[in-house]
Amino acid sequence: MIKLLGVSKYYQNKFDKTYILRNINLEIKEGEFVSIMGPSGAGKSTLLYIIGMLDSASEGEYYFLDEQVHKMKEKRLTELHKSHIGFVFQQYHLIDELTVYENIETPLLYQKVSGSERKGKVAELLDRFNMVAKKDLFPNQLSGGQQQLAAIARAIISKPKLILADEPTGNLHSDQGKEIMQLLKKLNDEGTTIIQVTHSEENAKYGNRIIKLSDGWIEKE
Amino acid sequence: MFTNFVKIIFRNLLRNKAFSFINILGLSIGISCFLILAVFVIDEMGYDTFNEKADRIYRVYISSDVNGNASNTSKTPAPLGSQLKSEFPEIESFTRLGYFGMHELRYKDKLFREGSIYTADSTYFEIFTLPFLYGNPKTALSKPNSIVITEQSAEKYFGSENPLGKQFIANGSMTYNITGVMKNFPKKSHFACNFLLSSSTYHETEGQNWINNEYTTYVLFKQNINPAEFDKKLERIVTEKVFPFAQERLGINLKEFLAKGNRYGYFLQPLKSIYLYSQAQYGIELNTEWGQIRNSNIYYNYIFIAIGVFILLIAVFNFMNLTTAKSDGRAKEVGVRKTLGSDRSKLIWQFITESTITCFFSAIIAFVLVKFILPFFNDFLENQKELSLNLFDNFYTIPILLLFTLVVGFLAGSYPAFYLSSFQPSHILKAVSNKRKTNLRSVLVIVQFAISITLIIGVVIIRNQLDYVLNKDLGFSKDRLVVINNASALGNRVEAFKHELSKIPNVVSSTNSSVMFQSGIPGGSFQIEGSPEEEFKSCQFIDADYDFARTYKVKLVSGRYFDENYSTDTSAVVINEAAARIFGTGNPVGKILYKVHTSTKGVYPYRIVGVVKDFNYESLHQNIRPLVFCISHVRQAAFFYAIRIKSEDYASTIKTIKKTWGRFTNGRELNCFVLNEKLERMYITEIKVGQITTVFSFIATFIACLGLFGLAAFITEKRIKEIGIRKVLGASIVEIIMLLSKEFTKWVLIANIIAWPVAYYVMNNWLMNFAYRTEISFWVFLISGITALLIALFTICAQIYKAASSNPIESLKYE
Repeated sequence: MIKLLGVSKYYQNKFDKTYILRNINLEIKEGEFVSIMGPSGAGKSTLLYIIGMLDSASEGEYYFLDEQVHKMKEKRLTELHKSHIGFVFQQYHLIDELTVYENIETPLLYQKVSGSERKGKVAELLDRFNMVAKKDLFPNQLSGGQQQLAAIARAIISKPKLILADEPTGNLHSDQGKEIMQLLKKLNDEGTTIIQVTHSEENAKYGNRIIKLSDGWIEKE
Repeated sequence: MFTNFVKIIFRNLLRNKAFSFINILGLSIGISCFLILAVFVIDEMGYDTFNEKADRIYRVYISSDVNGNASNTSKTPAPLGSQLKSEFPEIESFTRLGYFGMHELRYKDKLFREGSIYTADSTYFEIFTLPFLYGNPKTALSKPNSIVITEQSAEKYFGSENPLGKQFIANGSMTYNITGVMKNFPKKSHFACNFLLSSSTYHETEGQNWINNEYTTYVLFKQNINPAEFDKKLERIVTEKVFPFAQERLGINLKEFLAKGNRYGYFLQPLKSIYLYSQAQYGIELNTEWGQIRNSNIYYNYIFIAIGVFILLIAVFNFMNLTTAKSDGRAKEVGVRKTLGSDRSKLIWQFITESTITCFFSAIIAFVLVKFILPFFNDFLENQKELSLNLFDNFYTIPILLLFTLVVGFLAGSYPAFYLSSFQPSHILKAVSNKRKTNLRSVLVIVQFAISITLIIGVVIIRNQLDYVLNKDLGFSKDRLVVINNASALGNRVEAFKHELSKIPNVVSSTNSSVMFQSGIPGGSFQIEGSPEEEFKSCQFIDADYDFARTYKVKLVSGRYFDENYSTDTSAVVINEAAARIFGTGNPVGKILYKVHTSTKGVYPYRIVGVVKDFNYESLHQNIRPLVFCISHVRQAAFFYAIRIKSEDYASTIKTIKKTWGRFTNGRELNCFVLNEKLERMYITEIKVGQITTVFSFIATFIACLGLFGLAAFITEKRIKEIGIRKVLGASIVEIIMLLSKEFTKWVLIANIIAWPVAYYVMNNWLMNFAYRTEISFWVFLISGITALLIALFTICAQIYKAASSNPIESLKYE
């Protein structure tokens, strides 16, 4: 599904380059649950964003579903990422001005899904996540766990093949964290590929593969 | 999708109430100002367009330069119109307006002296679209002694009766038949009067005098003729008609005339240009226009358009600045939306929708404001105009307003949209606080203040100039003078009236003369003894009596003023210094001055008995021109009766004068004014422009400050952590304040550098309208600049002080 060949990311300063990622070679198959680990500043998030097409590599090749992402135009990139990839963030990143319902609905708007179909899909997810009562609340009226639930609901509403999670439990206390991890595990069991960035060994156990990054290099698997 | 945007927009507006308030208030005020000025300028542009044939109507004017005296006049000779029509098939018709002085009109017991009575050719109503209430416009003016009156005059004489077929007794002996009642002249007509008399009433109108320019000639071209090529053909009239006549009457030879560098020609001016461009473009002397003509100057409209656009720009810049300054709050939304699959164009579209909706709200508020303000604005303009903004008057008003709102919304939203939508989600969402510094923001503030400062400088210079003009020594004593301007009602009892006035204790002296301080001062050709025969000079002349110099306190330079004890003074003249200069023959006292009479082919000799010191008998837009005083018994034209009084007790003195006046005129109404007030009216356009500019420069500065206030709030909020750290490290409040205001100060200073040359250029041009003007002093610029800086610092000081004095723990406690 995902194939990175010699991917590097650096920032050009006046005289030298500051590398974030160095020569990453990586292949991830459909259905995997991968955890990316490593110390702060190792390049974990950057790798995740490059995979999620929100950032681009400075050099190297990137294939997503056998398409050459590194050569793609912006429009096609947006197309690809909006139909196949869902994001979950440590800070949830719900839109403050929209209610839970509207937040979950937003990706469908960008995919031009019809009104009635949207209603059905959002209702189904609210039901599944036990959030029907909370649907008209704004993000700041929810607990952290509930916000993350809503964010995951939003990430999976358009049934993406891949979910990218950037420390999804980082801001949650352990009970809520567990609940979220179990949910991700369940999604993985249903066939969704998941890549998460995490500091926690415990969370990494939910997955079936661990990639360790250090100073921009992949250490070992 | 759209509803999703709209929801966000409304929630955003409600959440950031202060921000929305500043944005909407600023935009509303900006749009209101723009709309008011636009309505004003559009009204100005629409003069004379009520005439159905407006595009084909032209006025003939004369541009000449004779013996170093260049002038453009709208007055043309009597035979010109019919000559043009018979010679050029392109011309469909012509009509002339003429003036033969005041008329006393009587109907039964109603008797008034009417000044606003002009003669017109029978074709007048064929050319101009002026609807009739009664009578037939085609024939109304075809016979002698026919008169068409306006609705307003009809009411004055006849009340609700139908005046058609009734008669006026004119000047006690003639009979004028009322052949038509027309609606009052539209407000947007360059010419207006109360009575139109048939030209054929006066045989002079059929005369063949080619050098007496006393009529306004309008010509109507046939369809599809390009009059631009016509000026050349008019040359033929000058060579074939004007010069042969001038040769016969004045002995002027065309070849010699041209050899001396003189020129003389007829030209055409489109009807629709008369109101706005007569002075600005055609250089036609205001003095040669009829008394009741309306005129304005395109130059002021340019100024108003510029002010309107500038104020709108300031408001739009506010919107841009505040929106981008607040971008940190929106950045997350941008990032999230991008990860959810929005592409950039959708975000741009979202932000532009947002600004357009904000703008739409502002436009609605502005529209209500304008509706509310326009009546006051009309009052302010002394009801010269009936400005209004109605949605349903024209089919195009609503679309234009909507389009305008869209354009402003787009303009205001464009930069924020492109700026915000360019954020990289990977940067925003990783919560990397990267410093996004925008140079454009400071550029916008600088431009805003540059505009404000320019306007402030403009206001100060206009005020200075008006102050100068209104207080300048005019060469005579202008205080404590009361003027009666319908003194001709006294008829031949004027001397007796004067004698009677002298008995009033508060009256020092009084004098009767022809008009001054307004347009219509007559001019003539004069030649001094000993100069070559064709070396005549143009001078204006004033008819005055023996008490003129004493009453106005005009000083003598040499010789003496007229004196009743010299019986020969009836054929004497007094000239001013300017006249003495152009005749250039040393001391002119004792010399003979010939007045050239074109109508009777002859010259009249006068002896110069004195030279008076130059004094300003016209507005200070004009240099003092050569002037000749003639002693004269009361004539039709002499109706400017000035009375010098001892104390400034105007009300009671006028009351006493009124009593005496009533005895001499059978209770006729007294029209009088205090001269000082009349002098002020000469600058009414400048005074009004000054007031409008003052108001709008306040508003412009206010909106700019509104934006600065918001910007200061955001900037200090953003730097609150930095301020906290600095304070922990030992910075004092004063040091923090200095640090924060440094940037704002820099902006205002740069704005000054931009504003100064612009203001200098514009205001210097404006001052050129005056022959007498103040110096533009450097202090004006410095003080305006410092004022702007103080206003800016005052605006931001509350925010900055709040930030600087806050407890650093507050801002540092939470990460």
